[in-house]
Parts: sequence; C-alpha cells; structure tokens
Amino acid sequence: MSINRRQFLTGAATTVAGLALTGCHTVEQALTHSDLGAHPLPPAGEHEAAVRLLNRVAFGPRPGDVAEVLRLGVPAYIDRQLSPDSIAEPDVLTWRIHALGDVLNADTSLLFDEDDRRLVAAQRQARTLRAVYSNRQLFERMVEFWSDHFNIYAFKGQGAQLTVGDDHETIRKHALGNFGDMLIASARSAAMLGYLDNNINRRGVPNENYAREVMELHSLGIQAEHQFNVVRGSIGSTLSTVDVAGSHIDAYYTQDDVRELARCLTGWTSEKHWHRGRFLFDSSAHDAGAKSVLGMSIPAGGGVDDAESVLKMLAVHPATARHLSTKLCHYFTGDTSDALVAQASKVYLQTSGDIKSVMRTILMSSEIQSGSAILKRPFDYIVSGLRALNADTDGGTGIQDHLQKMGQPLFGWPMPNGYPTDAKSWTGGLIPRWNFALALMGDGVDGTKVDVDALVKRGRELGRNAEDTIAELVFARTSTDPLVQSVRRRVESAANTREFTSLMLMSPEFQWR
Amino acid sequence: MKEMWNYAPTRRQFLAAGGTGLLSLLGLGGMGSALGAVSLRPKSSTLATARRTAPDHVLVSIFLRGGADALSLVAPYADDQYYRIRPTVAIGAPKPGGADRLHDLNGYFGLHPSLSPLIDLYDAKQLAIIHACGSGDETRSHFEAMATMERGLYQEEGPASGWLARHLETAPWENQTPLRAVALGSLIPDSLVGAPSATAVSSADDLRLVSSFPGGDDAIRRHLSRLYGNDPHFAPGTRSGTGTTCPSRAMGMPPGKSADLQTAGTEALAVLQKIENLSPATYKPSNGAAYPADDLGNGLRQTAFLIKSSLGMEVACLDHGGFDTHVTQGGAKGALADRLDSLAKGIAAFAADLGHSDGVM
Repeated sequence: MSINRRQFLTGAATTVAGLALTGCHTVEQALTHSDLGAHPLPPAGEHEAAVRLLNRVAFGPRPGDVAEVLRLGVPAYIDRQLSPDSIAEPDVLTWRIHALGDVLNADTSLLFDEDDRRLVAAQRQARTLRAVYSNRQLFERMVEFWSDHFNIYAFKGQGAQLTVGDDHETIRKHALGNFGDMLIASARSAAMLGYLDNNINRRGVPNENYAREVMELHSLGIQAEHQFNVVRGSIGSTLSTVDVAGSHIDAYYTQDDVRELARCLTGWTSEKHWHRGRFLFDSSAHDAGAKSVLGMSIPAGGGVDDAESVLKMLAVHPATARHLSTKLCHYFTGDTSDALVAQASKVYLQTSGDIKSVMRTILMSSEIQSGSAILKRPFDYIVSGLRALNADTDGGTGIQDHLQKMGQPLFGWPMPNGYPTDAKSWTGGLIPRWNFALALMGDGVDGTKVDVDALVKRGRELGRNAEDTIAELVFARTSTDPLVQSVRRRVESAANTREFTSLMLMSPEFQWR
Repeated sequence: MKEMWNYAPTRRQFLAAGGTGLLSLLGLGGMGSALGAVSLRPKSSTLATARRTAPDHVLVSIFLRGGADALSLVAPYADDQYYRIRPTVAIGAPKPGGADRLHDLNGYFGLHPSLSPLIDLYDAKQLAIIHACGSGDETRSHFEAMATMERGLYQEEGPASGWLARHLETAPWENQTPLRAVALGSLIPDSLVGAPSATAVSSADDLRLVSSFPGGDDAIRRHLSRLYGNDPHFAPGTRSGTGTTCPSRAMGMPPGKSADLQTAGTEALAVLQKIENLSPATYKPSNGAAYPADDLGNGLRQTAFLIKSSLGMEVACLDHGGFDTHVTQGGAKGALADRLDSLAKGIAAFAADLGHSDGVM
C-alpha cells in the first residue's frame, strides 16, 4: 500500500494555498511557507548562508527549506537537526517506506529466503526515499557518511541479507550517538564480519583483514606521509606524542599490532543456522593466550572481552579523534582546516566520542560557510535535483539505473574505504549526469515525475516568468543573484521550460554544493 | 616428455610485445576463462587530460562466461590420458588434411578446430596461451570461479574490487577521459567493479545525449558548450571590477576545481562530438574484416571503432556467454564448437580490422 500521487500533491497544494502574493521572496521560499508574505526579504548574506547550510547539512534545499532556516535561525535549525527524533516525518515518506514491506526487517534471519537483488533494491529504494523526503536531513547525511566509513559491499557473500541488519543496528542506531558504541556494533555485525573475513578468523588460522581495516580505516587512520615513521610504546607514551592541536601525527600501529588484534578477534563470527546473522563468539576458535596491542596488555583467558577492550581503547584514541574529525570536516565543510579539525578532535576526546557534540562543533563553525565547494557525488546530484524541483519519486529502479550509470550504485562499492569523496574521481562522469537531467525532464525516469506546470503556475502567481521560477528553485536564489544570472547568461532560448530546467541541472554550477 | 611451450612470454617480453603489435592472451582456467587482447592505440588521444604518460595500448578483455572447457580449447593430444579420460568429447589429434581435428601448436597441445582462425596470430607470435591458470577451487561452483577470475584473487580475504579496477586505480599515469574504461554491454562486469570511471555502453551509438526536446541532442550540445565554455563571468577565481565576488567564488568553488570540471565538461562534449562525427552506425571495418553477426562480433566491432576514435580508452571489457555447455558440449562439433567458432572469427576480424595496413599490427 502506498499513498497515491494525487493525495501527495493535494497535500502540497494545501500548504501553498494561503500564500500572499509578494515579490519579496524567491519562489523557493514561497512555495511551502505561507507566513512569510508580510516579512521583508532577508539580507542577501543571510539567505546565502541558509542555502549553503542546506547544501552541507541537507541534500540541498527543498522548496520552503531556506525560509525555515531563516525563520528558526541557523543555531536553532542545527539544534533541531541534531535531535532527529523530535522532527516529524512526512506521510509520503512513512507510507512509501512502509510499502517496501518486510524485506527491510531488522531480524535478518528472516531474510534468507529472499532474492538478493530484491533485498538490495529495497535498501537502495529506502535510502533514496529518505534522502529525498526525510525532514531529518542531517541524520540522513550522517547515514551516508557512516555507510562510507563502515562500507560493506552487498554483493559479497550474504551481504544482501546482512546489510539490512547492519543498516539498522550499526549505522542508523548510532549515526548521532557514541562512536565507540558504533565501532563495537560494527565489529559484531554479521555483515562486517563476513565482508572483512573475520568470520573465518580462527585460532591457528588467523585472518587479519578486519583487524587491519578496523585500525586503518575505522579508527586510528593512517597518514600516508608518516606511514613508515611508526610511533611505538605504551598507550601512555603514544598519547604523549600526539599533539591534537598540531599537525604531526604518525601512524600508530605496526604489523605486530594488526597480528595481535587479529588474535583478540579470533572466534568473532556469526550464527550460520538458526538466528542466522546474529553475532556469535565461538570460544572454541578463540586464541586464549595473552596479547598486547598498541602497548596495552591483554591477559590470557579474556575471551570476548579481549577485542572489546581493544575496540574501546581505539574508540577514544587521539588518533581516532583526529581521523574522524578530519573526515567529518572534509565531508561537511569541503576542507580540513587545522583549527577546526583540532577543535573537533578536542570535543571528541572530551566527550569520549559523542558524535552529536562533534557535529555541533563542525556545523556551528565559520568553516561551514567559508569552506570550499564540494563536487556532488552522483547520489547527491540526483537527490538534490529531485528536492529542488519538488519531484515525486518512488526511489526505485528508474533512479537506481541512473545511479549505476553514474558510477555510484548504493551498497555497491567493493572496497572497504567507501565511495571516493574527491572531485577528481567523479569529474569524468558528466555524460550520464547530463542524460539523467534530460531523462528526468523528458519524463523518461520510471517512477519519478517533476510537475513543471504546477511549479510554473505557482511562480506566475508570484509574478515570475517560467524561467525565473525554475532558476530560483534549482539554485534556491533570487533571479538577481549573480550566480543565477551567470548561468542564465550562458543559456539562450531554450526550446521550452522543461529543456530549460534540464539545462539548469546540467550546468557546472549545479554540480557543486 | 616434449617441451610444452613454444612461446612462454616472461612479463618483460609480454610488455615488450605490447609495443610491437597486437598480442592476444588466452588465459585458460578451470571454470571461467578470460581472453585479453592488448593492442596498440592507433593514434594517441587528442584529449587534454589523457596525460602523455598514459600507455599507448588498449587492454581488451573478453570473458568466456559459464566455464569454458580449457582442455577442449587447447587439448593435450600427446597425452594418452586425455583420450582415456575423455572418450566422448576428446578431439582427434592433428593430421595433415584431416578435418575436425586439432591444429598442432607445439607437438603436444593442439588448438580446437573451431579456433583455427587464430592460428595465424599464434604463428606470428601475437597470440600467447597461458594454460591451466585457474584458481584451484575444487567446489566447481561456476559462480565462485568466475568471481575469483574477475576479482583476480583466490583467497577469500583481500580487496573485493575487480582486477581491472585495481589496475586502473594503481596505474602511475593519469587519464581522466570519460571513456577510460568501457564495458560493452548493459552492466559493469565484476572485473571493473570499483572503478568509478567505468562506463557501460551497449554500443558506441549509446555514447550520446538522449534528448526528447525539440532540436534534439544537437541543441543540447550547443547549450552545454556555452554552459561549460569559456565565459569570463564563470572564470574561476576572478573578481569582477565592482569588488563583488564572481559567481563561482560565491558558490565557494575553489579555482582549480571549477576549472577541472569545466575541462571535464569540454572533454565530454568533445567525445560526444567525435562519436557523432565518426557515426558508429555506419562504421566500416578496415582490411575487409568481417565480424560475425553476433553479440561478440558486434561488441568487438564497437571496440575497434572506439580504439580508432582515439578517445583515450585504456580498457574494454566484453562478455561471451554460453560456455556452460554440460552434455551438449560435444567435441569437434557441438555447442562448445559453435561458441568457439564465434569467438575465433570475432577475434580474427578484430585483429584484421585494427590493422595490417595502417601500421598497427
């Protein structure tokens, strides 16, 4: 069962019905918020700041989002986004997720009769629907961030079934929680145990794959320029070499540490029969001897506590604080300013890895506004376009086929490092982006529609011509904004409004956020 | 025992051979087989981001799906065991003038009669055969075996990406052309999984913009060249005379990055324009090469077209299915022979097309 398109659009129409006509606001602001008519246009700087914030915190502005940020004020908006449970979700999202049915059941043991492709398709669909429609935009951004950080390839082993549980229990459960909890949830996740081979890590036949990646990618990180300059010693002395505010941090672990952590992790596997997908500590496969990781002594006979104590130590290690802060700053501000990374690392350590506190530091910083533009990855590109144009989408195969062609099929990155975040990895893929924009506006994407006529009609009521309306929506800026003017100067006489819309989406400016 | 190899290239010879002409490699495994053809790129790419350090050859990988039977492709006819163990599907030893018999390679192994179009390449030392290079996986799962081949790793641990993706990722040169890695088909094969730049095209004809608007893709390309073109107001990092920041700065685009995107856009348009001009639909192979009228023949024809178009392609992947032959396999005739017939004719046409006459071969 799903809400039908008419019901959905009727809802949207009711929201805009009471609008006072005014030339003072962008169509984007006026589309959904009726209480703005009497207020004067906000200063350009505030408007620009709100757009930028939405490009960073959210998957781009939906009509009405800029107005909401301006009404609440930036700090209150961020506070609200940091408490996602307090934000109501739109009915259309609730129903469409509901309609995907039991294939998203968190008890993965029930999923093993399902077809792999159907399971992956449902997860992709849910991920897309949430990014497009959820009001908890920061939360969905965090989900994307952590899904790359703890990347799992759904097409290895039982990945299709097990990633369903991992998404619930590791990613979504802890996305704004405590990092240590998330790290341990990930270590116990059958999906991760299978993906990085720890499920076959047994006493006498060690498999070091997960032990290595958990240090290199998930926690401590490795700084390439220092990787041969390894700092060794007790935990205490390692700490003393770390200058959180400074830039010199060396690699923290050696191959010995990897080997020892792998020993700690022997026997960490998952149920293979009943309760398939549930964490299992197989004590018969566990190496019970004493170990030493990063100078921490682990006495013999600790069992499952061996690895847990190491993971807890890794979670609050200064190198982890710095590694995560650097990644988060890069993802949210486009830069890794030394000052902000240091500040975020400090908060991380003070709060023992409270993600919400770290995020508050980053989002309230001036770097959110001053950082470099970030090239949208394909998922960003599609979702931000659908949001800007108030598109009606089922998030299904129509969208996913385009994502595949653009090189970012969800749950489809085979390497444990997650999809690349650098611009260079994606600039070669413009042709499929352009074809998506053409297909979207030519009604060629199954399950997804943009009602251009309705948008244009609304714009006319506000005194805008069709192209002004579309440009204002796509860039969430007024027609007089220099960026909008620059794009439009380079477009002459589009054949019709739909073609014009596709050109706005194809423009270089819309590839950035 | 006779010498098993006439021509067993070391890695150095293999790389050197890449510089002298077209070298085909038949890698014969247990359950899945891959065949790679390395050919010279006729002209170096004219596109700006294909750095001069990029290699001047194209790697074409043809995957024989379903478990090609290596002992029928290249049979050890001099080994009595071969005939004892395979009483029904063994192929007769080479005999002068004998039809439906193996073609002798080195006095020990013989090539399946359906592969005879490849004999010339072999004799000219442009075809190398690497036999029995499967994974040793004894589960006999076709899917496992194919996944192993495409991943290029036998052990369970290690990267899940494809071997070609890792090759591109770790190559010491830069090549950001949009067609660096192409899969001829509707899906990216596992060997290219993890290469974000890989493009799947059913045919070169697909490399175009699909516009349903009046004016079609011509109009869109014109618009795009203005959008991505050299507009002074979009020039990265400049400030206008009034002191306000230019739009690209307002968007926070770092000067270098926005220039890179504009370059990428210009290059993508150049690819589209070039393909439009070359008109893949009417492409005529050189040297009278006659591609078989099947999927593989068509794919190889498209591949040759892309190579000759000098678009910066480094890797092309093709699939040749139907090797899971089971009881219909046959010997000199049968299901396997039919698949091999298509394979050999396709490769021979590809080799001919790329060229004896224009100095490539």
